[in-house]
Amino acid sequence: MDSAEGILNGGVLRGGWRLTGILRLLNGTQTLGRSRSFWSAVGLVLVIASIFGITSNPFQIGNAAYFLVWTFMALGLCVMWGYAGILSFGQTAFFGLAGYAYSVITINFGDSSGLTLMALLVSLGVTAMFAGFVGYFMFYGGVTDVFVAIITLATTLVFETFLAQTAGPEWSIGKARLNGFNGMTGMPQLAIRWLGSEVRLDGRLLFFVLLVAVTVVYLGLRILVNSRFGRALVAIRENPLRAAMLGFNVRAHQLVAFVIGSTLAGLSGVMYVAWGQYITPSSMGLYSAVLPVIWVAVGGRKDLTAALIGTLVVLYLSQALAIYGSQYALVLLGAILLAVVMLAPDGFVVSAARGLLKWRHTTVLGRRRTDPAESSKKHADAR
Amino acid sequence: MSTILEVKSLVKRFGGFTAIDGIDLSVEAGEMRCIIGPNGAGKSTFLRLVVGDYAPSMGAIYFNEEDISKVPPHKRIVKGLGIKFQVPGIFAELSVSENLAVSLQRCTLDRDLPVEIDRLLNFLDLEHQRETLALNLSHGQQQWLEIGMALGTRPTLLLLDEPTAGMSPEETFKTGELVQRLNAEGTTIIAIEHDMAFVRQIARKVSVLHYGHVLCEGSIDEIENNEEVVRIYLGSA
Amino acid sequence: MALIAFLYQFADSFAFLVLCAAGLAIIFGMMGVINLAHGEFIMLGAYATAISAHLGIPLPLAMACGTVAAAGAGIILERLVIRHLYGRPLDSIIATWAISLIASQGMLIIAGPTIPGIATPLGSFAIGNLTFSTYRILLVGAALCVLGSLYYLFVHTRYGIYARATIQAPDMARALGLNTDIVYCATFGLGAGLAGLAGALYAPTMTLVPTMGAGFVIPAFITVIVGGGDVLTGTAPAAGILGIAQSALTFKYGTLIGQVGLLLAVILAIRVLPRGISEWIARRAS
Repeated sequence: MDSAEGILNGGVLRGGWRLTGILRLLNGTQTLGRSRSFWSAVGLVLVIASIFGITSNPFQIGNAAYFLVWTFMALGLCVMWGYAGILSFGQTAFFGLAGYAYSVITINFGDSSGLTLMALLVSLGVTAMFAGFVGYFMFYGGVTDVFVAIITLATTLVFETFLAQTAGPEWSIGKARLNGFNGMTGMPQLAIRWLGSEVRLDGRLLFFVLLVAVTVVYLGLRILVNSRFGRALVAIRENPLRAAMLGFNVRAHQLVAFVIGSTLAGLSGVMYVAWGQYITPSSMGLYSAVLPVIWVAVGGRKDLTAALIGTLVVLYLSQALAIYGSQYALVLLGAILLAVVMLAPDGFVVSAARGLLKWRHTTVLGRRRTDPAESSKKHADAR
Repeated sequence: MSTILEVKSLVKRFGGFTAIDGIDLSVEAGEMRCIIGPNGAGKSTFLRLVVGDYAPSMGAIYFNEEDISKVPPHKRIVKGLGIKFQVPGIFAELSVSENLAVSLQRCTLDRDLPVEIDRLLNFLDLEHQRETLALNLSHGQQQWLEIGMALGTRPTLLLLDEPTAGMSPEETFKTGELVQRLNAEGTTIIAIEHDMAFVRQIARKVSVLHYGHVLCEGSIDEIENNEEVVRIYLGSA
Repeated sequence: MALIAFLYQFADSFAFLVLCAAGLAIIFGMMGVINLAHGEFIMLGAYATAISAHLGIPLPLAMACGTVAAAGAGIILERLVIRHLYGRPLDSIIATWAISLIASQGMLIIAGPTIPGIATPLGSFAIGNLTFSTYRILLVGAALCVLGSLYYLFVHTRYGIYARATIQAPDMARALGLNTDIVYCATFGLGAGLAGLAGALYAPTMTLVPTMGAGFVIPAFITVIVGGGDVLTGTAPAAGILGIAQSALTFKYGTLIGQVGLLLAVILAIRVLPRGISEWIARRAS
C-alpha cells in the first residue's frame, strides 16, 4: 500500500465497496453534523436554494452562482489544511492555471458541448499534474509546515508575475492571446448535449449545475475524510512521526491530499471562466491568495460544513461591504481574520456549534479538554 | 529458533560525538530481552536506529535475516516492527478508540475494526475511556494507549523505550503483566528500562549497554553478579 | 563601461535587499515570528518621513521620525497581538497578514490613494556617458552601516547578550532574572524600526501609496528565507547572491523576469537549504 493510488484505492474502504458502508461514512467522526435534524436542515437548504433558483431574477441568480463557484476551492483548502495540516497558499495559482487552460483550449478549439466538457477535464488534469509536481517537489524534499506555505505562495506569485507580463502578441498559445494584465475574455460557457441539441449552461442552468456539483463534492468529501484515508490524514496532521511509526507513508498521503485540494481549486477556476467568460492575473495576486484562507479559517478549517458555511458568509459579507467601498471590505475582512486567530482559532462556526448545540462525545470537534485531575478521578471511580 | 533481529558492528556518530560505538547484538524470535545501561549509554539511540529514525554511520541491521539498514521507517513497520517511544506519541485530538483505529486500520478490514478495538481496549483496561480525548488521559493511561497502538500494527518484534517511565509501582507491575502476556502470545519484545524491579519481573535475558557498546549479556542473575556491571551501573541496587 | 553599470546595479540591489530584510531577519531569526506586516512598517516609516519633511523638518530628522514611528507601532503591536502567537508559526502568518490588510487598506481610507512625495536629494554624477544617482550610492553606505551597527549591537552590548540568551533559552533566561517580555518587545520594536528606516530611506525614491509595502515584503522574505535567521551570516550573503542573480536577470531580460527569477530562487533555496545559508555556515563551522 505504498503508491499514491494504492493509498486512495485500497485506502478509502477496505472490505468491499458496499453502499451502506460508504453511506455510513457520511456520518463519521471527522465531520460535524450527524443527526437527523442536521440532514433535514441540509435538505431544507437545498429545497430553498432550488426555489430561489427558479424564482429569482437574472442578476440574483448570476450572483448566487458566483458564490458557488468559490466553494470548491474552499472545500479543497479545508481538506488540505484542516484535515491534513498542509497550509497551502497555492489555491489561487491552481485556480488560475485551470482557468487559463480552459480558456486556451476553448478559444483554440471551439465551443461545442463535447469540446467544453473536454476542456474542463483536460484543465483539471493539467492542474492535478502540476499539483502533483509541486507536491512531490515539496513533500518528497522534506519541506514542512511554514515552508510549504511559503513555497506555495511563491508559486502563486510566480504565476501572477509571469502572466502579467504576457501583454504582447507574441505571448499566445495557438489562437489564444494571454494578454498580460488585462487577461483573457470571450471564452464560451460550458455546454452539454440534451435531447439532441446543444444547451449552453448560463444563468439559471449554471446555477443548478453548480448547486448539484457543490452537493456532490461536499458529500464525496464527507465520505473521504471519514474514511480510513481521512483518519490517516488527521493522524499525520497531529503527529507525523508517530504516523510513520505506525506504518503510514506520510509523504504519499500528503501528496494525495495536496493534489485533491489543489484540483478542487482548479475546478473553481474553470467554473469561474464558465460563469464570467474572463480571467485575469489579478485573481492570483497577493490579496487573492489570502482570501481562501480567510474563508476557511473564519468558518472553521477542521470541519467541511463549517468551512463551507464560513466561505458563503464571508463572500456575502464582503460583497455587501463592497457597496460601501472595497477598502472598507478589506479592512473588515482583515479585522475578522485577526479576530478569528486571536479569539476563536477553531473558527466561528465550529465554536458556535460547540457552544450552542453542546455536542459531547459524538464527534472529534464536539469534545472539549477536561482538567487532567478530573479525568483521572473519573477513571478511579469507574474501576 | 530463528534470529528475528541481528545487529552487526553498528556505529552512529553525531558530528564529533559517537553515540553507538560498535554494537553486535542478536535476538531470537519469541525472546523477552531487556536493555539496561546508564544514562547516555546509547539505548534510545539504538532503538531509533533499529526502527529507522536514524541512519547508521556504519554497520548493518537484519530483521528476519533481511537487511533493513536502508529501508525507510514506515516500511519497517509494515514488515513487522513496532515501537513505543519514551514520550507518549499519541494523537492528542483523537479519542482513545480513534487512536486505536488509526493504528489498526492498515491490517484490519473495516468490518472487523470495532471488534479489534474492543479487544485492545479490554487488553489495556481502557474500556471506560473509549470516547475520551487522548490528551485527557492520565500519563500512565497514555503510555498504555501507546502500547496498544504499537500492537495495532501486529508487530512480530515490539520495541519499548522505557515503557514504565513516570508510572506508579502498581502501574509498573500492571505493565509488566501486559508485556508478559504479549510475549506469551508470540511477540518478541525488546524493552529499554531503568526500573530494575520491572526488569526482574519480565526479563529472561538482559543486555547491558555502556558508552555505546554491549558490556555483557545474560540472565538477570548473571548480570547482577557480574563485577564490572555492579561497579559501573548497579552500584548498591 | 558595462561592468561599472553592472556593479552599480548590483550595489543598488544589495543595499535594497539588506535594508528591506534586516528588520524581518531579526524578527524571524530571533523570535520565529513570520511578520507579513513587514511591508506596512516600511510604508509607515516612509509616510511618517514624508509628512514630517513636508512639515518643514529637515530630511535626516524626518527620517529619524519615520524610524521611530515604525518602532513605536511595532512595540504596540507586539504587546497587543504578537506576544500571543509565539510558538504558533502558521497562526502568526495569518494574523500578521490580517494586520497588513488592515494597515494598508486603512491607510488608503485615511490618507487617500497617494500622498505628496519627497524629491531625491543629492542629484547625480556621471562616469563616461552613464549617469548614476548619488543618493542611491549613499544608500549602499547606509546598508553597510546597518550591518555594522547590528553586529556591534548583538555582540558588544548588554541588550545583545540578553536578546541572544532569551532567544536561545527563554526559561533559563527568566530563571536568571531576565525580563523576557521586555526583551521580546524590544527586539520586535527593533525589527519594526529597521523596517521603518528602510521606508524612510527609500521614501525619496518612490511614489508613496498605501500598498507600497508589497514591493518590499516579497524581496525581504526571499532574502530572509535564503539567508536564514542570522542577519550577519545569513542576510548579508543572501543579499549578495540574490543581488547578483537579480541584476544579471534584469540586465538581460527586464525587471519582471528578474522578479520571477527571484521567486524561483526562493523555491529552490527552501528545497536545498531548508534553514538558509546561515545554518549551513553554522554547520560548517562546528
